[in-house]
Amino acid sequence: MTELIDLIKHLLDQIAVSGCESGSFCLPFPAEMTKDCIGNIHLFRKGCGKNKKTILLEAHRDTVGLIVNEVKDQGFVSVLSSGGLDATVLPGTVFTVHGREKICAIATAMPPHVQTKKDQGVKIKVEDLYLDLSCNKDLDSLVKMGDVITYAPVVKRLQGSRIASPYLDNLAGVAALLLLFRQLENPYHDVHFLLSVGEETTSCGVRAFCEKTVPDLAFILDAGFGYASGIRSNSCIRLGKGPSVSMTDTLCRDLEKEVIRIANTNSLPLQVIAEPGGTGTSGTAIQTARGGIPCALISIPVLNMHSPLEICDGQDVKSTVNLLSHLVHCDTLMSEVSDASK
Amino acid sequence: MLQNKIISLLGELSEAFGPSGSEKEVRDLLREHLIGCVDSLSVDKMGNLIATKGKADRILILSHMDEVGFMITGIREDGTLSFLPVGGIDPRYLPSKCVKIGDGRISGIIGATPIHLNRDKTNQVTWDDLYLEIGVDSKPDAEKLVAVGDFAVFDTKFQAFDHNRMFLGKALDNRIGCAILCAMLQENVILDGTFVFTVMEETGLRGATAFLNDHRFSVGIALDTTTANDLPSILPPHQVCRFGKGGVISFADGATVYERDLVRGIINRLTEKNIRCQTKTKRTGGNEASALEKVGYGTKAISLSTPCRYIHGVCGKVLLRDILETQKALSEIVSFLNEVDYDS
Repeated sequence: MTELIDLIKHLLDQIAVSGCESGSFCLPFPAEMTKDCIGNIHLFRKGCGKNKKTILLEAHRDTVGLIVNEVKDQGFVSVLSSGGLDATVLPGTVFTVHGREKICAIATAMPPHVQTKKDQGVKIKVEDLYLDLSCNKDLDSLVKMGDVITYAPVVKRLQGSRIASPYLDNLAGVAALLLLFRQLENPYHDVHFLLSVGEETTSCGVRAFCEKTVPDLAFILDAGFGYASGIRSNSCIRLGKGPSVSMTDTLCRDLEKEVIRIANTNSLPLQVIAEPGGTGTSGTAIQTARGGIPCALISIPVLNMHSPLEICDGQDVKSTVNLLSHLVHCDTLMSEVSDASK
Repeated sequence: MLQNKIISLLGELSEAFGPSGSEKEVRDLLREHLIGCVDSLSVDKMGNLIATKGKADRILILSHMDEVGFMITGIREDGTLSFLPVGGIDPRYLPSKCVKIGDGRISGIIGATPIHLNRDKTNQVTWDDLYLEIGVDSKPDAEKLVAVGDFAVFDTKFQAFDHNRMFLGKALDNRIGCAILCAMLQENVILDGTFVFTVMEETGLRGATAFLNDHRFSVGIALDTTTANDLPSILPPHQVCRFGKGGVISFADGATVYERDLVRGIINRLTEKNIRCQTKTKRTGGNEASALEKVGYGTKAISLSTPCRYIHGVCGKVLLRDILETQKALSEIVSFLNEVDYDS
């Protein structure tokens, strides 16, 4: 668990808001990686199998966030959002503004003593927020319009192997891929690891990658809605019960069934969730690239998505690494499935 | 040096666990710092920490130790916890904030039922929508760690910025007041009086009320922390008070109208001595001054507060400059009040 937490902290240090991913990125261990012109990070493990396929494992590394709109007097900035944020929970939240240096800032909130009944009924929008910066002097040289803003990187351990941190969507997925890469030796199939950009807005990252490299199959790693108090239990997945595979009407049913088969054969924890009507992930972009790439969505359960503190179970990340390892070592993966084009 | 003492005390006190009704950790910290610096130190039946120095009957200063927080009201079958506030907190800003619960200081994250379920027409979060997630999945597992009735407070690290000129932290209302008063006693800046670090201010001025029902003073100062609402979206009259303008001495607030000539006299004295101060531009907020006026025989009351943004939430903000001006104001007000004979 310490290893995973250190990895999450390392990734939080280089968090990239959607649209602003061109900054530097370094791995927590020495490895050959390439970074393309829009910020996709790519690693590769060569396969040794006789009838090996090319598999793409994709996890988006961009996150939702805020962007500085106007720098006002007295140390405040107004903001715009990048990706979907619930502004109603943001007042009072501590952020980091990535100006010329990292600046701590707190989202303004009218205290209860001063609120009227009318104030209490107002639904807060991102445009209503101001961020109160923890610096007053030289504001114009430290912060500019367009600077990105992320949640303050606070990581907390809860009971067992539960972890609370911002951006587990999708640092949990990125962490799973990096942990797999580090331990993976001699997979049957060729494996491309893609930490893609732009998923929270346009999926431009994965589209760009698939223009150059057309894999035979793809698995998308993303965060899935974890069961929390009050949610109907069949619309989300449980923390601590392993990753899930989504049964969809939009991706590749044959590949989804393969994930279930391989998990069952090896007694691996796997939840199954039905997700008709689109998955809200890179799925569509990959599925429809270059003549079509069969893909399936594997999700790690996460609570409080897009909020300042999300929660996941470290054990689920480990189970995901294990599942992916079995998939890329499996010589019969999609070999029995009839090819619709033949 | 007084300034450094205030800063280091504030850091310690801000992170201490002391919601209304469970102030022990804060009281123990203050007691440790005050032993040897005051003539007497005692704890009454409510839990108020009472210190005296020199001529103890001369002047009374109240500074509350408690902070707003939460109490666990139930443990659900799925291992999450129901809770309610202790003191005044806006529920809308709570989802995804981190708290510490009970004697075990168990970490919990506040969750809310999702927007599309169980919300009324305004879509605003209410206390019924909120729960605490501690990381277990069953009621028996949760019961091993927490119990109904356990207290909880925000879990926020105290941080200093800009070479100790600006601070972020929880419970700044009223650990700022406690830090100022404690440091002044340690450094012998105030020599005479009775100084009460009170309990349960946030839940109805209960510590102060009990104390004042049993003691009689001519004049008293409520040393507190008050809400600065000087945000860009707020027009000046509604800002209440502002950063950088020094300690807040009110003519009137949400609970009390102060004696006008007394307040004017104090403001004139402070202005003469070049000590920055300001008054509230809106009648909002209450403090122990209303207990001073209403309880027992009644005590002439002055309210002095440090302006602080985002109080009663997960993280407040305060400027060192305003803390120091409030401290200087307190010192000068004590001198001023000592010059007058209130009993004639």
